[in-house]
Amino acid sequence: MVALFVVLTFVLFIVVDLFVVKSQKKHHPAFSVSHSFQESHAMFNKKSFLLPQGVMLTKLHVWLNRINDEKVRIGIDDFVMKALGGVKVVPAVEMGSFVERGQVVFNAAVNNKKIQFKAPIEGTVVGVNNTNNEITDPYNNDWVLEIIPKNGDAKQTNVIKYEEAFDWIKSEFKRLKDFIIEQSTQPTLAGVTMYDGGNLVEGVVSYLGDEAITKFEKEFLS
Amino acid sequence: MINKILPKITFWRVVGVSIAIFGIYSIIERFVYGLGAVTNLSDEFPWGLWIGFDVVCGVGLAAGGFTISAVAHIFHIKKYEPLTRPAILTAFLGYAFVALGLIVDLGRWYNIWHPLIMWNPSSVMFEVAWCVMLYLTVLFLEFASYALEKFNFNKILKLIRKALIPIYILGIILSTLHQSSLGSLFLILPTKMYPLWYSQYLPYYFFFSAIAVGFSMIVFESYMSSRAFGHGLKFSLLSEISKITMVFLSIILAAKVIELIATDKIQYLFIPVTETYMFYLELIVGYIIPIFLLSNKELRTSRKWLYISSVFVISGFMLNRINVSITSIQRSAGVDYFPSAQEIGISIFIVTVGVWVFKLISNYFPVFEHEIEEGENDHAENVSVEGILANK
Repeated sequence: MVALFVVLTFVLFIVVDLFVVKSQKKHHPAFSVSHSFQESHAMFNKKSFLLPQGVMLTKLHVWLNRINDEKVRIGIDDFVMKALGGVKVVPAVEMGSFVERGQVVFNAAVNNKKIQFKAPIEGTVVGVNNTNNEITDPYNNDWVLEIIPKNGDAKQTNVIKYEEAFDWIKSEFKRLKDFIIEQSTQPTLAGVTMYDGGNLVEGVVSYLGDEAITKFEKEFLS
Repeated sequence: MINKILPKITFWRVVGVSIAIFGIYSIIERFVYGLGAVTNLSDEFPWGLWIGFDVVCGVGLAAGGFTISAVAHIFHIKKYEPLTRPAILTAFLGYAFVALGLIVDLGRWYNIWHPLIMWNPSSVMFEVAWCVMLYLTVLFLEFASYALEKFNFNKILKLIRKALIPIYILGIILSTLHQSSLGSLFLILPTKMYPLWYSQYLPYYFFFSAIAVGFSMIVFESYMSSRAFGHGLKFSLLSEISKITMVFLSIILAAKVIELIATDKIQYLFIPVTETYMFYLELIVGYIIPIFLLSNKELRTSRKWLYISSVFVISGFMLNRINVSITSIQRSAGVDYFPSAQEIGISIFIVTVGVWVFKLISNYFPVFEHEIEEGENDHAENVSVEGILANK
């Protein structure tokens, strides 16, 4: 009877806690309400990323592409575009200004939250794409800045080699899935098959709330 | 003023404070008037709730520390690293409160240090005492690295980190020894224990069940932490480690069934007595249901069912340990034991203090912060700007 008493006490505490959570109108991590978003949203998986020849990805998820002997074009990569959903990017620097590596060069608005993107190189801004469109063609029409890199810059920057870029994107995709699972109180946001290597809903990060968006910025864009 | 105080009063705080008041009162009563005044223990039945729950269950429930430490630090499956810190903290506090429970239970509690100098190497209890003391020290050193990290004591931190692998190995060896030795304690009771629970393989059952429940405790504790602190769950990792629980539960269940048949104890399953019902309950709650839940991929990858399965594993484990240490002995002792209100109050108080201290430490030390380091930019390479331009 002692064994039964101990176990029933343990279960009683758990059940009472469920009622307490409910009365506080909070979500218990085990019994969160789930909604299905798959039907009405585009999906993406680790095979659906674009990477045109010559584009170099960086760990800041800002790509670089040399367009002539002088200029380098930069913008947000396909991975971030799909993770955040329809984002508009606004340049944070002006034509002719000199940007340092790591300096915030453009911002994107996701829900009510501002996400900052940092420069992977240093140099002078010689072109700004002010179309102010939602990003749909990240490596072509929706580039953000053109920069002339500082001459003789011997400092190092983090660039993913082209031949390693797809593996890196796959690992980032896996990391994003783990991140979504951690942050989501609604696991089906990410797709019920995601544990088996399935898809994610495009713009999935934007459904997670402001706190998660801040964490996404810290973990993926810094 | 009242408005400033009122929002801080929550249901669990009121319950916690009530438990603390009664618990402290009971502890004072126990030390002032002795065990006889506050417990239902007797010469015929000297081990009750404090040993059965606080010690025999408590040590097993704290097994998450050594199991996840072995997986992440010895087998180098690094993805489980984010689960180690909370598990090690849980283990450290679990063992500390096991020691506290023992002090309350010991008649001459002030002699608790005797095993340090009065050696009796032929005693299982001596081995358990030494292992628990050493393992508590090891857990303290493991936890100390997080505390030193918080205060930026980098020189000492470097020294401790250099010694961490031997410390982890020592911790796993000590846990293996005392988790199994807890089962060995009952080997001297072949005539007193009810046959359904007595087995020469009790040390193995205790060790394997500690591994199984250790992982389930990590799952349960992760959910509770997520509920308390509002941070995310490492759900995919929790789902994966639950497979280990399922494997070990299956091994134990198969071994028990084989042993019942081989030793001709199966006849006891058909005797309509309390022990039989409790044995069935233990098998169903602790083995059959969780094995079913965890072997089904759809259920194992469901937040709700993973949590429920961890509750089943922990409940079944507690049923088993208390059945072994209390239920199985009651018939031969000829005593009907049920803990007094003070015994229950002190046990719940010890668990409550454990939860409070865990929450307090998690608020001030980097117990969960380590998570964000997972797999960060493993494939990034350093290339100069000239290199970028040359790559074109």
